[in-house]
Formats: sequence, structure tokens, C-alpha cells
Amino acid sequence: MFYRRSNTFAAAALAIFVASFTFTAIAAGDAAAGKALFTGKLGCYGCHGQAGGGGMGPSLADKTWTYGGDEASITETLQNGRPGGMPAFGAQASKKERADVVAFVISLSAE
Amino acid sequence: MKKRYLVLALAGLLGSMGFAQEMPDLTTAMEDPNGWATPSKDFASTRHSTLDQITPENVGDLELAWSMSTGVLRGHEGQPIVIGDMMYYTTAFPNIVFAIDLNSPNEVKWKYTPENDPGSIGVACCDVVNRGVAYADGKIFLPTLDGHLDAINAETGALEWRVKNTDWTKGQALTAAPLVVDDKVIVGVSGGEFGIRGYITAYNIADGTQAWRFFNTGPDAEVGIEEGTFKPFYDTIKGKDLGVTTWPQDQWKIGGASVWAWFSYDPELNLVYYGTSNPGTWGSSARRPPELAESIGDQQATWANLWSTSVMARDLDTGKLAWAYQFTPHDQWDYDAVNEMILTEQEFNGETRKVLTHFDRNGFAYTIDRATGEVLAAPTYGEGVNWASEIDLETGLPVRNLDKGTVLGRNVTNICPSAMGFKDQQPASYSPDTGLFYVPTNNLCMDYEGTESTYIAGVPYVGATVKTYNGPGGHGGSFMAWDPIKGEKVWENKEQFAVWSGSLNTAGGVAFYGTLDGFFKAVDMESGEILWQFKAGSGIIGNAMTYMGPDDRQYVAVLSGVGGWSGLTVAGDLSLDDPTAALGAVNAFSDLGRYTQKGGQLYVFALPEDAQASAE
Repeated sequence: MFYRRSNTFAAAALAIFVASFTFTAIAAGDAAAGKALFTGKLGCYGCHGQAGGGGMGPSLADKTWTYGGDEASITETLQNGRPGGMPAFGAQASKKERADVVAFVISLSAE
Repeated sequence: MKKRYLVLALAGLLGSMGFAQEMPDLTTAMEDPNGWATPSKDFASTRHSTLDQITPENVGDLELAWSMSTGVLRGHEGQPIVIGDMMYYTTAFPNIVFAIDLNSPNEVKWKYTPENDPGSIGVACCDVVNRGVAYADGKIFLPTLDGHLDAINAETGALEWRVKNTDWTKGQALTAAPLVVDDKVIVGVSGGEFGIRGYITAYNIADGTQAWRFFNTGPDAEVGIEEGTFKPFYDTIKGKDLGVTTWPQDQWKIGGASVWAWFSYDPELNLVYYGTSNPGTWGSSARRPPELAESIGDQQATWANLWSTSVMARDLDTGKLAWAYQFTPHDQWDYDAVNEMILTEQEFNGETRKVLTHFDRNGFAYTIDRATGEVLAAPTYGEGVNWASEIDLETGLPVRNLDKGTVLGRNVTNICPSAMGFKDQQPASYSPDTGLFYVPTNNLCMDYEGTESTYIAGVPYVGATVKTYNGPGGHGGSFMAWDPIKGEKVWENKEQFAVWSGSLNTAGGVAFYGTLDGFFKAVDMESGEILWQFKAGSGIIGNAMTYMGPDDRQYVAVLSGVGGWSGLTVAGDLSLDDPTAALGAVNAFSDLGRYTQKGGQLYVFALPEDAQASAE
């Protein structure tokens, strides 16, 4: 009896655990869509290079982050800009678009 | 009692010394052959000095006399100026100005740090450089990256006035050295990569009030074009409001044509000469109508995107245009026309003509009558120019190779020159003794893919992905002597990297230039032989200059500190495995970091002290 309940409990916990990843993946953006925005209409490539190597702006493909490389920090950077030249894209890009770009940016340094 | 007299006497002595230090007016300063009173040495931009203590025979003994760090680690373009016994120079952002009394060069007399918004860093396409301060009548004029013009007391370093010239939040920065003439100080604006609408402004030296401002795109009235006053030489640039009609719809409002490099001035004609940048956006598809999407065809004049990529000749007093000429109509390659206009007199068909010579980004070296805008000659000055086969001197138009025209959605390969041109802003010099130009060049070609671009204020408006690489021969650049009459190289020193620093030539027969990996070189002006070199701490993108010190010794100075567009692979914090990063520079310069690192230093050289004594 006890064994079966803990099995159920374990299964439920596992299900919730897996579901939480799936939920995070949906809430986090679509890197492929983000790439299209990054290399196209949002103009990110103009400062950061087609593959995020940098130029006018710093590289996004390395492990150095001036304002933080976690999802929340990059989201904040994109939405509100940063001192030192990063413009704010809060008005230029929708929340979904920003999430997509953030996902793409994170993928650049994941390689 | 005695003490008081002593104090009074001392005060009197110090006071009289103060009066003896009075700063000269600009005209007097420019007439002094021992100084270097304006960024380009003179209004003609020759960068030629009449000093001749340093010669091919003794330059091998040149040694470091003194040096001073700038404390800044980004690209140092530009050059110091010297007025009397004072030297002034500025740095990359934050654009600190140093004043050094050449009687005691091992200390800084004063240092001025401007208010300078770091937000402007994000709208500087090609590193946070500054091409130099200017001087007039006891004031030093500093353009700050964030768009101000500061007038600083040359004796004390105190700010006298400041004006806001440009708005960095709209993608505008300020990097060009000002031109001072008479009672006016003239400044440009940077931002051809940000879809700005370029303009040029003259301020009154006394108080910073605006004398005039004109745009480089748009209706005639805003460009300063008046019927009867404006007399362009070529038919395709005669007409009303061409700064509007040669663009589709309202594209001229974000049409670039910025003013970010050099100015020259002819006192007899009273004309200021400068070149305008690429049009906004790089991606040319947005600058011609949809029916021409695939190719400009034979419509380059109709959709010329005036007055981008042009030399403009403006009246100093009114700012109105006397004439103009466009080097690259409907630019498809980022061939800014901002390179220096060097004013000389040359013989053409038995006649002496007052001309300007301009080594354009597009690979052609133009000799233009500077009174009328007629192109007298335009040979290529580098190997492999292939976007056009020649400049038709009848029409003034390039004969384009349409297969090198760039298009949205297509990657066009092997275009020469690259977007960096066969020469970028690094200035050439001219010697009236030899009649030759001494030209630092890039040997670079590119692949260029047209991509989507949407205008967002303060964000790059480029529409192109570029990969740059070395051109024919495989070297990155050269320093050459150029005969303007024959239109040919007299000698050439090939270099591993593009020669991104400006040249100096002297009556002593020695010319100087610096390399991107940090070698400062002295060459024999007759043969090009390298007679001396010095490995500086960081790559050199500054412009060599020379002056006579208070000790009657000739000094040669240059700023070291790698950066600029080509040096961003070192000065920026880039990932070098993206070849298209830094607007295409990474591919061509990815190995620069093996040879040099960031730095910021002024180096000053002279012959050993006893050498001067024995020469006399």
C-alpha cells in the first residue's frame, strides 16, 4: 500500500518536474524565430554581427556579459536598453518577439 | 618690509611671464612653419612640413624623445596640434584633451575631461574615435562623441562655451576634427550607418552661436542650393530638388550623407570642401523603385541618391553650395566620399589648374578643378577595381559593371574595393617638392549580401552582410607614392595589414606612416626605402605630424592605440569566429590580435641632441 502510494507520488512528482521544463520551454522564446528578427527587421546584426560576433556592440557569442547573461537580464537589456549604447526595444518588438530574440541570443553562447 | 617687496617683485615677474604667454590668432599660428596649427597642417590639407632637420641621411638615428599615455584603450585616430610651445591632442571616448608645454613635455599642463554621454558609444559605427581638436584665438575646439562642440581656454583648460550639435539618440555621433576659418568653426555629424540625415554646421568662434547649417539631402533650400549661385559642372546634377527627386518617396529623410572626416578650404575662392558619406541604408534596393529591384540598369543618375557620396563646395560665409560632384551615384557598396580633398595646382594640357585631389573609397583617384567641379582625370589607384571600369569624363558618371551591383537577397562575391575602400579616412599627404602624393591604402575586396533593414532611430540601418578579405596580391595594404599627372604609382611598400594611419611628408625628404600592427616607419620620399622604424605599444591609426621644439630640434609625433573600423577586432570585444561581424571587418582582420593589443599613447621622436649640434 505504502509502496504503491509513494510510486504514485514519485510518478506525479516526475510528471510535474517534466511538465515544468515543457512549460519553461514554451514561455522561453523560439530561437529560430529570434534569429530571423536578429538578422532582419530588428537590426541587431548591425551592431552585433550576423552570428552575434559583435562590432559596434559587444559579442553575444562569448561568456562575458556586461549586464548579466541569464534570461531575465538579457530580457531587461533588450526591453529597456543599457548605458553604453544598447537601445531599448520595448516599443519596437512585442513581448513574444523579445522572448524569441532572447532565446536566440542565449543559444549563441551555448555552443 | 623686505619680504613684501620680494613678494611684489615675484608677482610682477610672474605676471609679466603670464602676459608673454599670450596665444596667437589662427592666421599667425598657421604662418609659423615650426608649428602644426590645424589638424591637416594647412587649409589645403597637404600634411607637408617645411622642416628639414630630419633627412634620409640621419633619420636612422631617430630616437624616442618622450611619450605620454592617454589612459584610454580604444582607437586613437587624429593627430596632435602644436601652437607655439603648446601641444594639444585628444583621445578616443571619453575624448580627454591633453595640453603639454613643450618646454617640459614630461608633464601634463592641463587635462580636460568633457561631459560625454556613454550612450553615444552605441551609435559609433567604427570605434569611438576622434580625429582631432582644432585651435583658434586662444581656444581649443573639441567635438565630443555624444555630439557637443566644446570651446576650451587653451591656456587654462577651462570650458568657455559648449553647444549641442548632434543628437546621439537619433543615431548621430561626432568624430570629425573641426575646421576653423576666420571667425567660424565648422563641424560635421556621423551616422551614415544609422539612417541619419547628414548636415554641416558653422558656429561663431566667439560665443558658439550658429552661423549656418545645411543638409546634404532634401529640398534645395535646405541643402543650400540657389539658382544662379549653384553651378555644378555635369548635366545629371543640374535640376531642382535633386536631393529629393533622386530618391524614392521620402527615403532622403533617412538618407545618410553624413560628414565625418576631413575639410579643406580655398581662401581665394572662399570655398570649404568636404565629402559626404554613403546614403542610408547600405542596402540599395530601398533607394530605387521596386521595378528596378534586380538592378539599377542604366538609371544610376535618375536614382543617384543625391547628395550622398559627393564632394560639396560651400561658401564659407553663407554655407551655400557653389558646386558639387558625386563620385558614386546610387552607391551599392558603402563608398563614402569623405576622404580628404587635397588642394594643389597641377599642369593639365599646358595649363596650370587649381585642383583638388581625392582618393575615393571607390578605388578611383580624382583630380577635379576646384573652381568648377570638372573632373580632369580619374584613374584607379589600386589593383582590381571592378564595380566600374572607368569614369566617363564627358558625363562625370562611372561606367558600372552591373554584375557587381548589390541586391536584396543575393550574395555578390569578389567586389573590389571592399566597403572599406582602397583608402578609408586615413589621410594622404602631398609634397610640393616632389609633386607626389604619399598615400596609405587598403588592399581589400568583399562579398556583400543585401539583407532586410528597417529604420529604427538609434539602431543601425544597414541592410547588408559583408565579408572582407585581402585583394589581388594577398597583402592587406600599402604605402605608396602617387604621381597625379601620370596617374600611376612611383613606388609602393606593401604591408601585411591595411595601412590605416595618415601620412606626413617633409621638406627634409622623409615621409612617415604607421602600421596597424604598430610599426611607425620613416621612408625615403624618392625611393620608398624604409630607413627607420619603431614598434609602438599598440597599432597605429593616428596621423603622423612634425614640429620644431623650443630647443630648435625637429620632433615627429604620432598617437598609438589600435582600433577604428579595421582595428575593432582588437579594440572591441568581438568573437572572431563570426566573419561578418564589425560590418565585415572581422574576416580580414581576425589575426590582428596576434600582433598587437589595445593601447593609448603619444610617441614623440627626435634626433639625438648632439646630432643637432653637429649638423649646425
